[in-house]
Amino acid sequence: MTDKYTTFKAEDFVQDDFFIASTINPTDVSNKFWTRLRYAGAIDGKEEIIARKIIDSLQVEPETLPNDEKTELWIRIKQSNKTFQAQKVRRLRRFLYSVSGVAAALFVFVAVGRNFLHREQIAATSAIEQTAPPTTKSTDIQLVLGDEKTLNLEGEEASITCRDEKVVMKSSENGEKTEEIKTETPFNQLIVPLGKRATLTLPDNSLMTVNAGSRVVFPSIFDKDKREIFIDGEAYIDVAKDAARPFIVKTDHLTLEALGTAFDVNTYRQDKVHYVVLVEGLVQVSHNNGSKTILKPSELYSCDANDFSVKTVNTHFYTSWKNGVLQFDSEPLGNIILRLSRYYGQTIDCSLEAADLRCTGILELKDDLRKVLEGIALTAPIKIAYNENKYLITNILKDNTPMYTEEH
Amino acid sequence: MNDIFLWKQLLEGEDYAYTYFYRTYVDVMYSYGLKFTPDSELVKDCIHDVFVKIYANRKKLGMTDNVRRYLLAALKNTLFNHFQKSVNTYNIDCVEPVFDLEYNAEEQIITDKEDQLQAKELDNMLNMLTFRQKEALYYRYNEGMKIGDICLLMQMNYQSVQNLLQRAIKKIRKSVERGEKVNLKLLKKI
Repeated sequence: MTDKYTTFKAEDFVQDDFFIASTINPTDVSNKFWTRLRYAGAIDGKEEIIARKIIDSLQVEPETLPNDEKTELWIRIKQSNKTFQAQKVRRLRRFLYSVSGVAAALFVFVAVGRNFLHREQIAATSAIEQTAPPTTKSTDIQLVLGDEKTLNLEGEEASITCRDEKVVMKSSENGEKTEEIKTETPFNQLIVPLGKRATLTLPDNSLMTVNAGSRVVFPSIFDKDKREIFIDGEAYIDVAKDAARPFIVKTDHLTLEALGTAFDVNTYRQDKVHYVVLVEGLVQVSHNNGSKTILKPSELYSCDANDFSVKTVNTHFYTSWKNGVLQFDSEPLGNIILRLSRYYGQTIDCSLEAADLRCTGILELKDDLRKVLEGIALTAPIKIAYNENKYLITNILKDNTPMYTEEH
Repeated sequence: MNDIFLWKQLLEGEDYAYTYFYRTYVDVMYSYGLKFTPDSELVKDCIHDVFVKIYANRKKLGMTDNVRRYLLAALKNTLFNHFQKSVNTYNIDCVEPVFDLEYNAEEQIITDKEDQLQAKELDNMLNMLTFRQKEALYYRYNEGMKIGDICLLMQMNYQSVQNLLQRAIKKIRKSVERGEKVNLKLLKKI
């Protein structure tokens, strides 16, 4: 126990860096620390209260720049940077004109430009992305070890742990199995079909929750200088801390680089919009178009093949699926249906008019699909029909619209 | 820690680090700038100048141990230069703009009348503090800076900053305690 603070008066508390930080930016750890001292009688409670009151009285509301002005100012800054850069080039050219010939100078510029572009393109693809999915389709969760062995796991959920050149698999139906993995085989693959889920503990102890309809490619042993995996689909990843080896996630459009963090990746190949949500830590996202972005906690990075955008969100909405719950805030019904259809592995057709309805709330995924859909129908003006192994959802208020189908 | 890593990336010419610093600090800078002038357009212009200057010189800039302080110092200097230039239009002797802010705990939702009175008294006292005291208090208790960083921002030595803060705190403590006593008396009456 710390006795540093025993004789502290209010004046001493307000000069203590840790006390100041605990008052203006309290954390769970700092709250616990001071509560413990208070209960143990290791600080003068009266003086501490006065110190807190002093600091509280000095707090002023921060001013924030409205979002549109923030963007406007940023555009102005970028514009000025461009103009400035152009001026610099012009100045340099003028200088070169006066010193020697023009041709040489221009040639240098072009050459540098070409080289640079070329290097970027080579860096974009790597072996792990080239690993092809297995040709045989299965309704079970599959683990493909190297090129040779395919292991099927029955049941809706499975947990797979890779450690010490062994892989331990548990599933609700099969119980526990252990299998040796050959380290010389290039990459392993985990395939989680629609309607199933799996957790995967990687050789470095990073924990992945892999959602339905996803494929993960990972090595038996990570390289000495980096940990690289590939994802097509959705996964929540809790990255084990290892400052010496960055954790790299490759997807169709993106390369994510993280040290210890937790984030959600949603990059289904058949979806147009892919996204990454950062829960904690720091992640660098590189788009195949060459742009790089640093994500901060609570930021949502969404992109398509060409462009991207970043905004602040409540991360819970994007990660709750791993706890068997879907939470939405004003989300188009079409997106919710797509998620349900993947989660339960069932085809659900939804009319355009129904897909546009906005829904807010929480869906428990423990029940079967019909009950979940009926739950939505309690509040949304929709009608549910079932025939030929398909659900059909229409908007009661605006009928007879063309249908669109989710292809898997 | 991350800031320092990203600052290095910025010096190596990485654009994403530059974007990161803008997104992370534009509000902090805006809030800070408004303490020197009520003119929000001017503050925005100066933030613009700071970032453009950083971009133009990014390969020549030095390392910093605290990006937040670096950006605030850059904004303060830019604002001061601007005031210096327009000194002719301002009809005053003093070239330096002063740091000022208004404390108003009173306006926060306090339902109890006695508490309200007390908050008003405290605010009155706080608003009587000198500009320099207010500035130092802002760095220490709003920005959460260490004394060493405040020295650099205010161009004062360690001892002077400490004295400045201590004197202000003494006054505030008295006012806070007076409020406590009033409360006690009222309790006894009941």
